[in-house]
Amino acid sequence: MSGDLDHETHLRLLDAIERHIAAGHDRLLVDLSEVAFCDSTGLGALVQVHRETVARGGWLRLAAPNADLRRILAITNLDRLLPVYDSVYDAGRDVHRMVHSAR
Amino acid sequence: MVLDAMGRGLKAGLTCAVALAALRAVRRDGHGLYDMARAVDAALLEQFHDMRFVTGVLAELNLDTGHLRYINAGHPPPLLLRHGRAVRALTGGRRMPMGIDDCTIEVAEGRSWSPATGCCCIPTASPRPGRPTERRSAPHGSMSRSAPATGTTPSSR
Repeated sequence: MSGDLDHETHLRLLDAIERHIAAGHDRLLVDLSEVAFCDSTGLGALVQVHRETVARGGWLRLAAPNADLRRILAITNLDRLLPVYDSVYDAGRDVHRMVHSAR
Repeated sequence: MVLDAMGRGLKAGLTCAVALAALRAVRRDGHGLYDMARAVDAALLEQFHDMRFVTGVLAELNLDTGHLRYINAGHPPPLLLRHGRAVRALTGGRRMPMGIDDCTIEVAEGRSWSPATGCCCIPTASPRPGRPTERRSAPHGSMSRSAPATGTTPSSR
């Protein structure tokens, strides 16, 4: 995703995610590298996506948030709930390791 | 206590009102900080089906001993002030925002200080980054920034 994630745009994120979940995709990695700004409503949207994926046995992971967003996730302690990775590559490697070790 | 509900407008105001009512009800029943935070979790999850949370700091200050106990639910850390200057951030007692089921709460214990010379400043602003054009020179939680408020200030934005 790219742009601002805030009061004006969070419903577009939720709509897009709903379509993925409805299609049976409940393990979601969101690339935040192009997200310039995220307010509290945006954070709430991410937590809501987390709840919906977990309720279906899946998960939500976040990749490459900018320094501001990473700091906000740390201050709010939401990084305890939402795993954060430095890059999509790192997140993918961790998922691969998790799937591999579960076999 | 300081509360800051996510979002803005009437929706955020309603979220804050439910949180405040839950806190007061539990406190009047004689319960402590842990139970107060958990009561807000329960109230927000019960009253609203969409995702809502409230960041905030719940604190008890014993004026006789200067002993402070507090929980920080996803809020910028309170600052300890002496003679009007921030000398230390109080970084304990952290949990996720209230409304997100989080039983891993630690109530932090502050060192004693004299209420005559020291006070505790709890920021009221939500922990959001400024856009590049409005970013302040000092980030949230910085010891160098000015103190926006002291004491008991419920707020919602």
